This record gives sequence, structure tokens and C-alpha cells, in this order.
Amino acid sequence: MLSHYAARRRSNYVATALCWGAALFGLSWLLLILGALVVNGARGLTLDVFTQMTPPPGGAGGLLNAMAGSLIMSVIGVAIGTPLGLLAGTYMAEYGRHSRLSTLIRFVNDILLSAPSIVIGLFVYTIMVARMGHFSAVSGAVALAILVVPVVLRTTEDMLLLVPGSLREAAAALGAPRAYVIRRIAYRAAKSGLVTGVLLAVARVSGETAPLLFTALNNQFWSLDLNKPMASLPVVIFQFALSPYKDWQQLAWTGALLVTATVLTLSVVARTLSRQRKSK
Amino acid sequence: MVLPFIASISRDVFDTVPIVLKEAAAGLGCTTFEILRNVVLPYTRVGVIGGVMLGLGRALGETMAVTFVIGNAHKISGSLLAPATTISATIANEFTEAVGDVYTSALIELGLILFVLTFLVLAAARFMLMRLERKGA
Repeated sequence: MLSHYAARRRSNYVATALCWGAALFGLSWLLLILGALVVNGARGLTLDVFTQMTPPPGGAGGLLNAMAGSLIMSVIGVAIGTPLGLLAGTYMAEYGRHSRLSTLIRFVNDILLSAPSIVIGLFVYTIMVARMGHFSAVSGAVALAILVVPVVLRTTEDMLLLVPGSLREAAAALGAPRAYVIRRIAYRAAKSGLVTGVLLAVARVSGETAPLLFTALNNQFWSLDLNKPMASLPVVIFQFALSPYKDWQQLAWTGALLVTATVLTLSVVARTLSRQRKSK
Repeated sequence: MVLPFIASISRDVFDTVPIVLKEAAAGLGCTTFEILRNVVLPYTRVGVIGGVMLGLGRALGETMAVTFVIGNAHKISGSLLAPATTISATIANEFTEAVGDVYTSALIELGLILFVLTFLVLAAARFMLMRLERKGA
């Protein structure tokens, strides 16, 4: 009897140890990646990186045009995608909560959320780049917008569903029309959650390479023209890291460090915001 | 890259197990591992499989991380250690350099195959996760 109990205890210890080991294994990769980025990226982190254009092979330079391009395309992408996601999420959580359509949208949206981003790049290529006849920053921004929509939609719906129904009923009992209830009660109660969704979308978009490869392409020079190819940090990193030139590779490491730091900060801020909301 | 994804979904899925079930098992004298194996896993089996399939969908479509290291060799080799290529890596490497309509169309066709494949996998995964949700509701 006692030995049976001891065996059960032992298998419990073994299983717990294995779970711990798996968790540590997963975490260690994160630390290793961050460590490699900091070690290799910090070496090239000079003021030039922020003030100079991407250099020709062998020359000195920075990543200024790539950073500006990333910023511009992300901002436009988020500006197009956020309203769409926000409104669709509002429909699903407020108007069509139990309708067939909502279930269908949720299903498709969840698939779009993990769909391969390179396919989205191809799609935008065929509908915009091929029609216009040249690569452009606009099409890059549209590709990013398509990635933003499912992220914002998902969080908007989740966050609006967390708003207690009694709040809405109270407002409705005071005679407020439905649109007013949504705008002034539901949105206000879910505000930090909605912001979280947008931040997560920005974080997702600022690290994407694949959809930009065939839409915004790349640009060696300073360009703010939305109708022309535009550089972006992820694409520059991709190109420079695979190149045989030492200083290009160094810039790629530094760029990767910058992108990672941005995404990490955004994710941490988004997490803290949504944690506050849950503990309330 | 699949690991954190499956980990976070598994966590969400395990959270759906009613606490009463776990407490009942503990009341019968189960160890933590026995609760996991006999209560939590059977209850969430569909969800865990769904999570793994979502991870598979992610892995199928992953482009950049694979393109960097795979070597882009157009042959099927018997060794996993030899250079090879994936659909997404091929598209990423060759699309901007494709000459002629047939080449471009072939690459877009590859994109279609990739999309249909991931769509099927992801749809199956979502379907399984939805079944678990319905059970909880």
C-alpha cells in the first residue's frame, strides 16, 4: 500500500519536473535570442544609425530611411485597419451577438489571424502592384492594413463582451439610444482594452517582412513619396543579413535589435493595460 | 516559433476545465499529475489537438525565419540536413526576380496551394476549439 503511494508520488515529481523543464526550455530560447540580439546589435548602435541613409556595400551609413518607411507604412496601415476592425468588432459584440453572421465572421477572422502573411503580400501584389504597374508604399500599407484588421477585430469583440450587460441596460433604461450606449458606455468601459488591441496590431505589423517584399519593395534612398517603393526596417534587415558585406550584416543586427525593442515595449505596454483592466 | 504559440493556447484551454472537476479529483486523493492526466487532459483533448494544429498552420506559413536558413535548393533530398526549400521561402526568394508571366503565375499558384493547405488546417483547428467552447458554455 505504502509502496504504491510512493510510486504515485514519484511519478508526480517526475511529471512536475518535466513540465518545469519544458517551461525553462521555452524561456531559455527567448533569453538566448534577446542575448544574441543585444550582443551583436549593440556593437553597431551609433548615432549614425539614426541619422544616415542605408549605405551602398562597403560604405558607412545608417537606417534612417528604413525607420521612416516603417513608421509611415505602419501608421497608414493601422489608420486604415483600425476603424474597420473596430466597427466589425462592435457589430459582433453589440448588434449581432448571437447571429449566424457573427459566428461566420469570427471563424473566418480567426483563420485570417494566422494566415500566412506572404500570401497576403501576393494578394496585394495582384490587386494593386500589378494594376498600377510599379511597387509602391501605398500597397505596402494596404498589405499591413489587412494584417491589422483581424487583430483589432478580435480584441475589440473580446473586450466589449467583458463589459457587463447591466451597464448597457441601465443606460437603455435612461432612454439612451443604442448608438449612444455603445459610444458613451461600452467604448468608455472597454477603452484600455481597445487601446491594447491597437497596440498589439502595431506590434504585429512593425515586425512583418513577408507582406512588404512584393508591395513596398525597398529603397536605398530617402523617399516620402507614397507612390514609389519605400524602405522598411524588416525588409532591409532581410536584405542586409543575407548579403556578404560585413557592415551590411552589422546594420542588420542593429536593425533587428531596434525592431525587437519596439515590439517588446509595445507588447509589454499592451499587457500591462489589459492586466489593469482585468483586475478592476 | 510554434512553441510559445501552443503554450499560450494550451494554457487558455486548460483554464476552461471547471474547477469543481479538479477539486473532486483532488478530494479523491489524486496527485497533481493524476489530475492532469485523468481529468484535465481528457476534458481538453479536442482543444489541445486544435492548439497543436494551429501551431502547424503557423509553421506552414512561416516565411522569413525559414528563408534565412533553408538554403533554397530546388530538389527533394533524403537528408534533413541538406538544403531544401519551402513554398513560402520559394515565393519570398524568387517573386521579385521572376521573369515572364508564367514564372509569376507559377509562384502565385504556389501561394494558392499554401493558402488552401493552411486554410484547411486552421479551419479544422478552429472547429475543434469551437467544440470545446460549446462544451464549456
